[in-house]
Amino acid sequence: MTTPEPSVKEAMVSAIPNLRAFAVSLTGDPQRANDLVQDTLLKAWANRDKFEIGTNLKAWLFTILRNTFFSDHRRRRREVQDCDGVAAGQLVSPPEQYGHLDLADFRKALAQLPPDQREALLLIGAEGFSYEEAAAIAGCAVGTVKSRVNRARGRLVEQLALEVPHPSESRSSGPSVISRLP
Amino acid sequence: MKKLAHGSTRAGPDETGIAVATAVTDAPVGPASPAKLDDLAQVLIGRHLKAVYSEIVEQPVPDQILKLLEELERKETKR
Repeated sequence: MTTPEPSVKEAMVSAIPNLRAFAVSLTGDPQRANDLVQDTLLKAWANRDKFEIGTNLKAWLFTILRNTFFSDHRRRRREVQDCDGVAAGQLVSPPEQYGHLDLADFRKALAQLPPDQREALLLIGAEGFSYEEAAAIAGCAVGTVKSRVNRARGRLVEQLALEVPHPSESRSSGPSVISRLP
Repeated sequence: MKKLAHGSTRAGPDETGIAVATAVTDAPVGPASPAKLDDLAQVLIGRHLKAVYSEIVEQPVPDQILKLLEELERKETKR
């Protein structure tokens, strides 16, 4: 009497805002993020018989989304010069001020993280998945997730310390940095 | 979550940034020990991450995405 389909669909609908947030944060590009979410929903719908009711549907959707993103990312990487190295080159000044940061600075720094570190930080720090869940989603070991999160945090600390002295100009530079991401 | 009520990702920085900055001035900052600075940095990172993320979560879902699922479901029931 219970038809699983409506509940799967409803669960998919309720996961959309979080899927979008993950996709936007991962890509830095809202339009590309929307495409990514649509691809994810299409794939999930087509394969929903493979989803086991009772297991974590959100984690399953996140897995599909990140796999789609990373296979696409690898393809683009061959076409365009990747900007992963940019952040590392800018880590010059020691952490001095933490008192004042704004969200534009933060978005910029987040966007400059290597994608695998950004992914790990988003899954753990923003989405609240456990390390085990995040490892299953990213298809890697728990220890790898932990070290990616640590490296991401370390980079943000350095990066943000560097950005802090110019709060007035960072406000306008935030979106432009995001928009020129690959 | 109402504090993130600005509609666009661009308008975001001020309120939350200031809120975070004020919150941390209570702690003795300045040339503190590296461990303390580190803790403070972690707290700031956590808050900022959640702030930028929840701002996107709360944005309305584009119609094209909502329609996609409706469409998929409709095709399914027709069969």
